[in-house]
Amino acid sequence: MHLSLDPWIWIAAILMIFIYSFLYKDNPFYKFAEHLVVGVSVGYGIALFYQQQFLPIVYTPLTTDFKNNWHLIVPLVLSTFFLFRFIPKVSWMIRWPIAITLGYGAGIAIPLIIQTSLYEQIRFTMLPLFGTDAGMWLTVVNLLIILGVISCLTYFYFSIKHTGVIGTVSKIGIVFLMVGFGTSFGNTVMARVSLLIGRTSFLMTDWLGLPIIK
Amino acid sequence: MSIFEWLLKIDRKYIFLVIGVLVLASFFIPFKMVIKDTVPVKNVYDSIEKMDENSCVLISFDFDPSAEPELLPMSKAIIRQCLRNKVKVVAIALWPQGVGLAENSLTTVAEEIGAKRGKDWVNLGWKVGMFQVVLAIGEDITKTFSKDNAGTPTKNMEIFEKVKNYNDIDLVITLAAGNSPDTWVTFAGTKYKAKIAAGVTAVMAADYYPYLQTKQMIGLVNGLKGAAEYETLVGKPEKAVRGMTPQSAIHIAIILFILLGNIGYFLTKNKK
Repeated sequence: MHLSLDPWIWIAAILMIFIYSFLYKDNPFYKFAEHLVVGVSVGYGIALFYQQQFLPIVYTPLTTDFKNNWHLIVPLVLSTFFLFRFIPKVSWMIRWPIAITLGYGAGIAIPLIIQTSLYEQIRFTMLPLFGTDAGMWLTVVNLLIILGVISCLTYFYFSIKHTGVIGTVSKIGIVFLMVGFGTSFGNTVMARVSLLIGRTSFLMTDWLGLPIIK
Repeated sequence: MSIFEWLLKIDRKYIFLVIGVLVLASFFIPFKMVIKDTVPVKNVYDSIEKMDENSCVLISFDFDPSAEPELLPMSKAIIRQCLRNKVKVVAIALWPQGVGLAENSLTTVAEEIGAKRGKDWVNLGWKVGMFQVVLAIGEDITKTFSKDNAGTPTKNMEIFEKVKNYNDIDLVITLAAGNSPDTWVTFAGTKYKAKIAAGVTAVMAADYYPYLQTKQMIGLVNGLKGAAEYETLVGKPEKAVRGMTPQSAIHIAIILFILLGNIGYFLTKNKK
């Protein structure tokens, strides 16, 4: 056992134990660590934004070469309008930067998102069922994909009563949805356990220096 | 009270205790899991293996320390494979906290292999805006990131002599704890026809399998298991591979809990 002498490792280990103490019950140690992480994250974000974004993109160009960068004043002024929401008389002015951001964002994103998430996904559900080189197995897989898409869409189609054939197909849709939820749940368990393993490994190797099996 | 009624009312603290003890114990049990690679992971590995020397891979660190146990081992394994094969690595971060994690992975592996900053690899840091950054790289990466994370101007860097935009980047890998794979597929894949792969936390992996089926992504590394597969493929098993024994032990325990819980539920339901 080789206990770490690095004070940062000790701080990380102690804070980690504070956070995990919540598993027993809520307590002041947990609260302290929780508030600390929120504060540090926000502080880090603001400092990084100021250093890596505001200074090189806005401040330095305006102060060193105003003639060629005067146009930066327009987005700078518009961005300050976001703060007007705290002044009731002029709070309506926040709509201007929001309108520009939304218009620009929607204009760029909508065609590409439709192409990525709709056209391509639809295109790849138009699958051959027979006559493929890959044989029977691919037919089964493609059939499952087509059945899954149709039955799930039927389940979420609420304009017709789910009885008879529609009811049966929508029930098949539920089976596909359950498989999807099960996969997500299994993956979630794996992810959470991975985090626990990572932290336990840190405590035992980096902090306590225990001889674990490698 | 039957054992099942007792189990259904058990305090969840005891379940946490069992999980905790299992994780701790698994680290001391000399039992190695057999790690077999899966197709989505192998596809990422193969696509880098097939690259010529001086090809370029862009790795985006779109995660924060909370996803470190899953994504950092993955990043090290991928960077190790690239630098070993003399494939250039350009790292960026769409999440501010990703910058430090990228620096950690890159410097550790570069030191081990003897790769040089600015020539074999570069960490360009974080830039505000998600899809705007992805789109801007499609025009000119050195204009988007005029300086690297260490403050060195990127314009005259050796690594960017033949790399201007996605046309010169052979693969984009997003290591993500959020929805950035969607951003990369939409704005780099669809618009600029860039080749995309993703390494994601297991929580969100199921959401990205449709992109594999449609070939909008060439591969997917899923959580700690995917990282363990990658470490095995690269031939340097580290933290992810070590994590597979406790992972499997806990999975067995959770399956047993679910089975017991369900059996107990149905037995006591009939009694009521």
